[in-house]
Amino acid sequence: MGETKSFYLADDVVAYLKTHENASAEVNRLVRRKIAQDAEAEAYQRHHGVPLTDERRRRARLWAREQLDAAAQRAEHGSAERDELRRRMGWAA
Amino acid sequence: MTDPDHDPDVPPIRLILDPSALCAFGAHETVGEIIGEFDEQGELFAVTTASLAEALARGADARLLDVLRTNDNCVVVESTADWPSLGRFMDLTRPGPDRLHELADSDLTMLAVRTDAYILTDRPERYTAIVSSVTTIQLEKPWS
Repeated sequence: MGETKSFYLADDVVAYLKTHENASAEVNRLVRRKIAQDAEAEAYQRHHGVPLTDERRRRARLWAREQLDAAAQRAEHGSAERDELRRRMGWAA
Repeated sequence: MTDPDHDPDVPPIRLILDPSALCAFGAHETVGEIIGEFDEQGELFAVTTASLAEALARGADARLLDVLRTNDNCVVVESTADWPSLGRFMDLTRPGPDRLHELADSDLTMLAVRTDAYILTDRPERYTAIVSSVTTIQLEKPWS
């Protein structure tokens, strides 16, 4: 699905898209990201009655990175149990 | 450690959103930002169809669920599609001779074990009760 459309793009945008092998995919990715951010911001405003600020996003991003790093470290512990379970399930290499 | 990337049947998923995480999207900014990290790194997160159903039943905004499940980095996993594996997994992890863990929770935990992914949830014990070493990231109140 989808269709071909013509748009005027600024030189810097064209230059950026030329760095991608599949410019259409990159445009889709970026626009979907914006759609998701807008939908999230609208829901946040409805839920809290105040806008979702860049500062709150920045702090949340820091939290997310810290949590992902911590999870990666925790995942190392107890991997033997999961490996054994995978083996018994027939998934282990 | 087993590299789940070697399993040709499953994509390399790094994070699974449980129903509480799905409900929290839009209510707190952390869910959107943690997903944004995957976009930056080209990694995948997953949701199960059972989690989507539970989130909807718990009052999640259907439009926001659509935004999540249509994200380029999201893999939607059909719950119980691999019912033979789920049956075996529930048998292996049963809490007692005559008891089984809840089906949707087992399904999500099985996906986490199979892919070595982390589970984003407000209640880690829901999944660590099934496999104690499964890796969770806890959403904290009040956004859960």
